[in-house]
Amino acid sequence: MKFERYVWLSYVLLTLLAVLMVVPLVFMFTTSVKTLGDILSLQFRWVPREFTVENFTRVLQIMPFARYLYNTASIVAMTFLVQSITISLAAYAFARLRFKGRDLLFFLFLVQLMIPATSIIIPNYQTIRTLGILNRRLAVGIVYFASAYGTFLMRQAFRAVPRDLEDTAKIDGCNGPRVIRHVLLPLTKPSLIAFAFVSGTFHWNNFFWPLLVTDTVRARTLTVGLAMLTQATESTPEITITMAAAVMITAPLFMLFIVFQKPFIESFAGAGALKG
Amino acid sequence: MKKKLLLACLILVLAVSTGWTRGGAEEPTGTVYLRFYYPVGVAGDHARIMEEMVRDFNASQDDVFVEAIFSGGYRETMERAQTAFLSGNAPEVAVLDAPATFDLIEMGAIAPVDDYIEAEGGDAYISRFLSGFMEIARLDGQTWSIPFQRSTPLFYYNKDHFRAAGLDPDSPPRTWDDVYSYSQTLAEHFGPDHWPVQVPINFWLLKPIVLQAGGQLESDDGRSVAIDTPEMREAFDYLNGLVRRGYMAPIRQWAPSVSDFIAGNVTMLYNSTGSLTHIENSSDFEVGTAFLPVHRRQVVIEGGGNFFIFNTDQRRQQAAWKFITWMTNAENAARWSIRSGYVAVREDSYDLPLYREHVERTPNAITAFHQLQQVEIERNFMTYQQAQLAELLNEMKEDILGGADVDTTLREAQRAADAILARFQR
Repeated sequence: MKFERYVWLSYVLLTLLAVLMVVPLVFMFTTSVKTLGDILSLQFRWVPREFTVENFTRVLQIMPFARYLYNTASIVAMTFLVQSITISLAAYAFARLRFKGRDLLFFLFLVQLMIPATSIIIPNYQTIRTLGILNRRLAVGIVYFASAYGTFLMRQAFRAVPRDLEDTAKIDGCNGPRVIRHVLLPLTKPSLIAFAFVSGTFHWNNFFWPLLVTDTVRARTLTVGLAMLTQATESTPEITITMAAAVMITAPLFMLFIVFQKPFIESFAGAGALKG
Repeated sequence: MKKKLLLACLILVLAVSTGWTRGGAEEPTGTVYLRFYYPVGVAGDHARIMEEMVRDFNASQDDVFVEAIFSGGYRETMERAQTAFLSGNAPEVAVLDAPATFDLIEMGAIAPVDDYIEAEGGDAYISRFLSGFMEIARLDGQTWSIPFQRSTPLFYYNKDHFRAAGLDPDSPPRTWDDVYSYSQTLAEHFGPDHWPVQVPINFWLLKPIVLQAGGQLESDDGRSVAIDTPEMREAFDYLNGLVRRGYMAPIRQWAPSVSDFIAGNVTMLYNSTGSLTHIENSSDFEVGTAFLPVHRRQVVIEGGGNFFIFNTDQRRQQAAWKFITWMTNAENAARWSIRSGYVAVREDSYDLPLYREHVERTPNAITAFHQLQQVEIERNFMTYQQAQLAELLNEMKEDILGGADVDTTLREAQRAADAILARFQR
């Protein structure tokens, strides 16, 4: 192989990219433990002169962090759990069942990917209000219970599973839903995990919709809490405190990533999952 | 079997959701329940201070119960109120950016407050508010809002730098020409790597400069904006001149400009009264504050948020008014100002012992009040589609200070502004 000689080049490129990704995070972390004076001094330092955790205690004073974390985590989990049911059922229909207008329907399904969520905020708000679930965590999650992206992803994954496996299961007496649960989903786990990351990060970071449909700490999310710190348009944002909050808010995501790193990376090697 | 389970789930979901429909906010009998949207516009535990005040209001009487609902920055709070209003779920009362008034009236969202003012004593009541803050609330002979969290542009300077350069720390520049001569002295003393003055990119600091040149930015009815004017050119001559002579960094945004000042990279800074607490707490030199330097006209503008009452029913609007009068009485206006850093909106707040002590501790806190009394005050930049036009002005200012051709940029900005306001022409 001629290219193998250039493997080192790809490592150089990857290292550069990795540094590019990591620098802002390191910056965020070091800023969060600096004092304000350190930030504003002319000399830039990566390592703070004085290490302080005061920024973190200030964040805890400003927003009810534990409650927001609980709300955010439960919204993310609830949304993903419901999504995994809806998308695998829909994906199965689009991948395996034959019915009139299936492809047109699938196409229409994908079209909604192109509709910006902000353009349907008012009708969505009205629906939530009619349901009487304003200011509840359900209101934040419910509008995302179906996912075009997830359906697409799972449909492609299901299609990659050889029909023979399914037929074998059917001969053994498995019907539709059980085929999905016992044959298709275990084989397409990496895709589902990839979707879990996409869905999880999106709902973890989502800001305007949760802000809109929630009023009180009972249902509010971390991002809304963060806005209490970042919207100082009439004065000056306190950078150290904002960064401390950012560290606290992103930390759970990092931890999840570290735990699920292996299956996540495998999900990108999805094609190989069946070969082994 | 599976089908039955699914059916059972469905029924459960339906049952639960209908159950929720019947839920919702419970109104204690006799007490009016109000939802109050408020934004956070300054750093710190602003939301906590607000909730504390609302709690005190609720505890002070039994007729009205207010729920304080934090709603993001000014922009999100406006979008939230708009969405809620258009969906028939408007809050009863909200603090919104005062220049949103035109858009709120156009939507039919808010109620004028003249009748309530009349019942409160008319002029005797309303004249206690600083008159400079009232102008933006009055349109077509009606009053649409009550000032609450207000600010004005303020001129900050580093007294230690002044002393070092041989300038009198107690006589800050009063005119544009002074700014030039002071900058020259400072530049000679501090050399390169130091900026004598900074006017951050922001429409809110551009409007007073245009007014000082003798111009006007927007028409009173908010339906047109004059950008391609001789006065706008003069404003940019002033700013561009500072840049060309190396007195000012060409493009500096709002927040970094404050950091530059605190770090001692900049000696004189145009900024907001809202930054005072932050600047005083973070700088290790003596901070001076002054009125904005003026030119042909001695004028400055104001900014910040007002209380708006939404169109609901008589009973709830009356309750909202009761809440507003409590929040803006002399004592609470003083309390809010001291803790948040906003300018107190009432003249009688400044006579309170509580406020006098505050001024003794932080003498700079009174500069804004004096500016409001001694200099002519015009309203904040207020038009239809205000947010969009403000963004346009910011971009224009950035382009020009960045070196773009003034004539072309102004002409293009004028065309863009006219297009934004086209549907509001009568």
